[in-house]
Amino acid sequence: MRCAACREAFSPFHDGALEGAEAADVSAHIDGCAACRGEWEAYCRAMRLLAWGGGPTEPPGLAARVEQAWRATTPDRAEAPAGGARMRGLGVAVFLVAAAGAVVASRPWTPGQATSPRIADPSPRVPGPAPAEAPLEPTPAVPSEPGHTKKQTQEVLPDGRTRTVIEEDWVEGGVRHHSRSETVR
Amino acid sequence: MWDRPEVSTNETMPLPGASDDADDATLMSRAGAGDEGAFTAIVHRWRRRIYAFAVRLLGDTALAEDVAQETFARAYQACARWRPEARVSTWLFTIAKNAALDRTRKGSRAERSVSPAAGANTTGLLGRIPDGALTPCSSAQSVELEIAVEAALAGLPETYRLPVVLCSVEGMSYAEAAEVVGVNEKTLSTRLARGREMLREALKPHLGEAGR
Repeated sequence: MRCAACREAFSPFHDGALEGAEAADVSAHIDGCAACRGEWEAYCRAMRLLAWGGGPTEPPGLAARVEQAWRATTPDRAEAPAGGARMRGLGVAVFLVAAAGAVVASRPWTPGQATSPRIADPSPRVPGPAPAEAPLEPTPAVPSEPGHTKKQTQEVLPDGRTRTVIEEDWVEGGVRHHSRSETVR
Repeated sequence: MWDRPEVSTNETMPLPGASDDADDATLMSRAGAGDEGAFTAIVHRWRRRIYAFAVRLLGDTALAEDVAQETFARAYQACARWRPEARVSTWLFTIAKNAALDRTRKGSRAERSVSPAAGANTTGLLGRIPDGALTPCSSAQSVELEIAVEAALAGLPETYRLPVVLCSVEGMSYAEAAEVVGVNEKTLSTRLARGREMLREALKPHLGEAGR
């Protein structure tokens, strides 16, 4: 094993995340290479420093402020499962497709006449205030470092929850990486 | 043969074990059913860890306080939707991470590259040293070391700081940290390795002769 490969494996080796043979290779190389052994010892010291601290001292009164904050909220007791909104949306979509099919089937087809099914509006129009906008809120890519872009979009779902999508692109070791995370709250 | 080092966990904030997970799950289930006392117990267990996590993520104790409050407010609001498949710890840290990132984006802060004096709160740093653990002669060196560690963490790009804080400081597994960050384990492992390497470089002057 080369020194560069050994040092690249320090992190997973430290966490016990290497497979048996690979871990054995790293261990044997450290044992036989004074330079890598020194690097490994320094690495371990750095990791111990990170794990050593007890964390910042909690400021006085934080407990009371935190309690005040959560007691001021109302728990969402609506037992809507995570897919509830999607299921309701799916149900509406199925209804609309069925309604469209019924409209198309009821119209006799005449050659040369374009059939453009008009989806019947399932709900009667009731005058009232305009529905609240659910705008997309894309944010411009925020480069966190050269070659690294991050983009976040937010969307308010019909049930009032917010879907946040974060996408990142970066280049590391000559390899392009992409990650995407989505949360719904 | 070289084994992994036995990294001692912090005795003042021990990492939860399997029985603690079960307790958390029981408490959260009861909280979701309307038991405010159960949620109070959850807050008592995790408030300090969440606050410390927010401080490390944001480098600002005032913002971290806001994030801690926001985290538990959101958690209480959503406690009825919590499912036993998710560990309470992972769930809370995910909420805290999102709250911290929301704060960062609201403030339109550029990616952090703070100097030690700019963001670190030395009062908070001094409080990290275990009581009675040091002699007066070594305490000054340890404070300097502690500040160096905090500054090194603060100097990491957010992409790498978060995995390092979750795994190296909070002791999360790759799977748990990946869930909090919102990436797969391989990506998490890559970012963690890169973050740790950057940290090691930043701490070289403080790691002794072998840190050359």
